[in-house]
Amino acid sequence: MRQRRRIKLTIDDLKVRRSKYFQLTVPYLHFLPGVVTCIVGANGSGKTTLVESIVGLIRPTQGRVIVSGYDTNKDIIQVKRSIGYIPDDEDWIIPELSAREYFSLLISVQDQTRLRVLNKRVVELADELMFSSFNQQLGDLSHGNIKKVQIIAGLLHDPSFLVVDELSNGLDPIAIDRAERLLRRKMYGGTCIIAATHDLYWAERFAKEIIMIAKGHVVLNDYTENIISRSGSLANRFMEVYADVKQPAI
Amino acid sequence: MLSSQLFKTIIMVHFSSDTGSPLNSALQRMALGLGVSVLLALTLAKAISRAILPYGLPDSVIFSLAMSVGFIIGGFVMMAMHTMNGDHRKNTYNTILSMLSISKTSRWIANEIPMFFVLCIVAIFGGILLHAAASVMLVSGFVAISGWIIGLYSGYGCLLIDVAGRKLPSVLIFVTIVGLVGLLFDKLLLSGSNGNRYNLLLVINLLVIAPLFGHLQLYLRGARNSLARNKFISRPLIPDRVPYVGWYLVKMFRNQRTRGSLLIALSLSLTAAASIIIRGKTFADPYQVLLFGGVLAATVACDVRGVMAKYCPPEIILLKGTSGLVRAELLAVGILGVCIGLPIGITVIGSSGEWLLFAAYLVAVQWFSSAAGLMASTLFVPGNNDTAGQFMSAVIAICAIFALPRLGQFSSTTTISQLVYWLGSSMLFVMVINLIENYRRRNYGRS
Repeated sequence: MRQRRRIKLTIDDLKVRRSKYFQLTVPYLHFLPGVVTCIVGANGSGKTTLVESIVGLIRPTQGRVIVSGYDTNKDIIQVKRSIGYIPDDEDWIIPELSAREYFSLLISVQDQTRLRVLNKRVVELADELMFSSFNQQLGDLSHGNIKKVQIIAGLLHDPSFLVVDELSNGLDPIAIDRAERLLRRKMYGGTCIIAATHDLYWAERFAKEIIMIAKGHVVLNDYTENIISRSGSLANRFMEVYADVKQPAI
Repeated sequence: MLSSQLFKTIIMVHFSSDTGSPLNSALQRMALGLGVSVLLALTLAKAISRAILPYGLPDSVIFSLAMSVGFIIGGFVMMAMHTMNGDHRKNTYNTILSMLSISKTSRWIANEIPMFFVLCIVAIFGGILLHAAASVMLVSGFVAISGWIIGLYSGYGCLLIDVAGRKLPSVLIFVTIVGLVGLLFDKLLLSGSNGNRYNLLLVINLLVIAPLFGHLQLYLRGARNSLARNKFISRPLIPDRVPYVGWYLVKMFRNQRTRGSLLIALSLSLTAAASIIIRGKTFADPYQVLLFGGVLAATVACDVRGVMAKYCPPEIILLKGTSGLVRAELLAVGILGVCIGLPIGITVIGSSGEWLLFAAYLVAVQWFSSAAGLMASTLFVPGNNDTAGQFMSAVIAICAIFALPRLGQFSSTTTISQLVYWLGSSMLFVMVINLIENYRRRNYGRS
């Protein structure tokens, strides 16, 4: 447990140029195990860019993302072993495969000595999320069921870092509650959870730390309780911050 | 190294059609492709065994020749199927693949497998033909077939070469090698001394084998590829004043895939024209040369339908019905087809006596080829990663171009009759395209 507590994710002098109009700049950030950090910001502020840089989907123009001592630029396989990703994209599936085949694909690239454990974990996670459409092709699943598949896929290898993009999108209230419980359990188990969201009330309730991004820059990085004690709520702080951010001329 | 589930996934994603049982569909389509190519090759092999071919050529020449032809065909097939543009990185499957914690070697194999299967089919097709030709020419079939296979994979490797994340240089490298190899073979034919011939063959072999480096580069790039998802694509805005009927032309320029294939076809056509001029070639039958431009136009047209939704493209409403959609498609591929054929046409127009008739013939061939490509494209609607669809549509379009002169018995008809044949057949294709689109529109949503 003590060894696991030392694991952390660090972002160092990161720059990601997404187009000629947008660049994400993060001088330094670090995420600790057993802590939920929410990334909030307006549309197009750079939340997803930051999330995708962390999971190694985007190559930074400059800087590094270090996951458990591994650089995403160099040791990508080790990084991917320790990261779970739950995307906010209905298309993030292989529509030709059934859910069973998809999980089997994800399990097949893991450590083969853990096959039985991983298969058992899929069943447990599916039970928890009330998912049963194992034999249906992913392309035929509903939005909510696709989200459940993505959650199971993100958690099945018991990652040390879990990156979540809009957890509740597409899920019904019971599934949201169960997914939250799952995440909470992971957090107590020492998993570092990074969640990008628009839902400020969810972030306030769920996160210990808040990172606010505006126009590609980190404008706030603080504990949730500090933010609430100063501004009353995260929503108030969000409005205050965005009142200071100049809107682009149309 | 590669788990069976990952292997099955690769096959399903690249070869299946939109059905309830993707694995069966993928296997059926692969078997169909293989069966058609073997059948076609066996038919052609019979014709080859009756042909009069030069014999007694040294094995070294046969090897280099087979390898060079393999290189050109391999490159063409790959271009037609768009491994260019880094399409592999553009879809969700590849993004998901990039998130899997698999080794560099497994990732490399996963990237190579789909094209490997396609090239296997092409290799078997050519292998049967070469075996037949080798027995007539009294040379070693093994040497010819091994040269052919190495050439095919080198042609593919050439188009994998990545220079600073751009694919255009790989096409330029391919075109340059093809041009150089052509020139060196010319020199070889004229060369007198054995030593000189040996040196020339060595240079040709090295030139053709060198692009195998592309495969190594793909392996070395493995880790980096797994990291980068999309290049961020910015699309130019559509000009306000484009009439509806010209919409397709705009769409073809906006879409990275069609734009890329158009640029490749134009560069190949220009290279062929430049090569004809540099070598001072004259042709006894310049009309035959136009078929090369036709093949290029057809491969471009093969991509067109795939940039729209298969069943209910919004363009049907915008362009006032299926006929309007087909008209706009035809206008785009027709104009671009003629543009592609122009460089070659202009170069060889001097060899023909009647330039007006020649120009009309050029337009007819290009329209026919474009219509054939569009028909094949409408039939399969090959998407970005639909390897089988892209392959089949390219094969059908190219077969149509070469089959028509045989069906119409062009050797015993006048040029004007041939011109009428081309135009008449393209009208037939347009009718087929209309029928397919109408059928699809009427049956949309009925399972």
